[in-house]
Amino acid sequence: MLAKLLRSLLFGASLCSAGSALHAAPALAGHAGLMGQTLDADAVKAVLLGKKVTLGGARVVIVMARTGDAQNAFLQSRLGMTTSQFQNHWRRLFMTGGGTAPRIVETEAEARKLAAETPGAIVIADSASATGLAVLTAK
Amino acid sequence: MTASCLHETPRPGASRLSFLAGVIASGLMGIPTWAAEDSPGMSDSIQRLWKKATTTVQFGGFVSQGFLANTGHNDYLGETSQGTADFREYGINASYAKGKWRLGAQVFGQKLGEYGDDELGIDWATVDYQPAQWFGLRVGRVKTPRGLYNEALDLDSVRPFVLLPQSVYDARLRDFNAAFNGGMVFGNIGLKQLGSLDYRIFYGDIPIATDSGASDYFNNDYRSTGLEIEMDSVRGGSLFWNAPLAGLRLGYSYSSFQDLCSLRTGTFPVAPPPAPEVTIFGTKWTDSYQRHLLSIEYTKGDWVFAAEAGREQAIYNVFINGINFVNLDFESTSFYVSAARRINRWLELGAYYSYSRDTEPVISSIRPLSPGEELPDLEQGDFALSARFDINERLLFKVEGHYLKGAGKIFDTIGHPQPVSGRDESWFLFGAKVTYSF
Repeated sequence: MLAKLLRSLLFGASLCSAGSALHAAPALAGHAGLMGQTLDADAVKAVLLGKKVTLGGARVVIVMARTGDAQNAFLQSRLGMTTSQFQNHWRRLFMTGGGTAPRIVETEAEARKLAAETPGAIVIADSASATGLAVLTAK
Repeated sequence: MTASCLHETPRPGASRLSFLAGVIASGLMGIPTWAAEDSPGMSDSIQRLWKKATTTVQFGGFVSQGFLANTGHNDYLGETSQGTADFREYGINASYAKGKWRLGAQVFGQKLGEYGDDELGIDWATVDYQPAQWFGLRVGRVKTPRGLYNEALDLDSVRPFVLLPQSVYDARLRDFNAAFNGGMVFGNIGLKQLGSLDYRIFYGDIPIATDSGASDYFNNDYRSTGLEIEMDSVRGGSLFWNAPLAGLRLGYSYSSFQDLCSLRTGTFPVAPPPAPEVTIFGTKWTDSYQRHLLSIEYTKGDWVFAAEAGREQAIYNVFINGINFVNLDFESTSFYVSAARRINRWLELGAYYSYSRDTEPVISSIRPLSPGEELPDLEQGDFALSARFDINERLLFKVEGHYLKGAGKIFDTIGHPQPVSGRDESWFLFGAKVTYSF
């Protein structure tokens, strides 16, 4: 009976850890040049909404995927916005002289790649897949 | 651009275009043009510059064409009683940012009835310097911060409505309301657990054309021909609180036009008909025309709720043939409530109720009423339902129905007489619009 219970607990624990590996928390990451920058929740909001335009002296370039699970979850949890509302926010700024629009690519993988190549770039990425990028979000 | 495109044989004229693009790009990036011109691999240099320019300079734009028609014979936004396609806007912009600096400009044209006339002009052209989150400076031709949506009047792609609530965002005053020439300081101040504040304070002036909607608006007290209209300065600002509750913001906007003065000529009867009309030259002047606007917007999931309420006031000194004929208390009150919901990828629905009331006492003061003539209140209530269809990411189509109650907000001009007493009191307006954005 005890062995059965232990087996169940171990199986449950392994499922949980597999789950967390597959769905690591989305985080704000950036070009390697931004290494050492740590953004709290307010700063993340300010940067993503175009209220703070430089990080570490570099102009912030927001890189977005057209759509993506990590991105959608992050925008919803940190800004309370859908991707469509976020894009509208930026369209409103960019088309009226109020900001520099995010650069849009097709997939989250392409967004990470472009961010890695672009000084000042930030991108929303699964922390597990942010290899080569500086993770900017405070734990 | 694909690799094969890069190696295509240049078309006649393309090299000149490329060279011009290279010159512009190198200018923007501070690279001397001779460096590209004199190098042996000039074509490669230009291509590299062009590629760099198109990745560092952002371009955007839109073009929209609409149709408006209403029942009855009120002509509201153009000749809407007949149905009109004189309803379009288009613009193209470019901007470039580096470090704390950003510069950009937009060329814009429009036609709304007799206004705009498809003439291209600079809509905004600004240089920004933003050294800190809490402080930035913007100079040039700057979009006027007013309420929730004034800076985005032409952006069909960010809302379901064909017409924004006209009580606050009168489309005929677009050229007047949209931007000013001058400077603005702005910033965002964090308040920790209390959210943050966005502030903007500006000063400048707004040129007004005598054939503009703004001229007709300010001279709507009696039929006249505008000879000149100007102001000394405009000043104001806005303060928005981004509440800790995600998606909620509340704000207040204020602006004041100093020494707003209109010089005009017209004819009017000195007594009830059949007394003859006399030609007069007059000025309408106020030392301060003030606007206040309270705003609230709440975004939750696929819903966006908004409401705004405003008040405009001025004491006009009306001079006729050099004599101070009358001093008038002008007041306009307005509000609207709106809701919009994104249903799915291709459909968004919206609705609003908008109300405005203007005082126009000069009409009865200067032009005596005919026997039996009664002036209705200059009110307008507008209930609107809208549907937006996203055909693809860039192309969208909107339809909208309005039920309007009241004879306010209609211009009575020499070119298009619409006396208050002859207007329909309730009517339906249909609008449709197609927009392509890039």
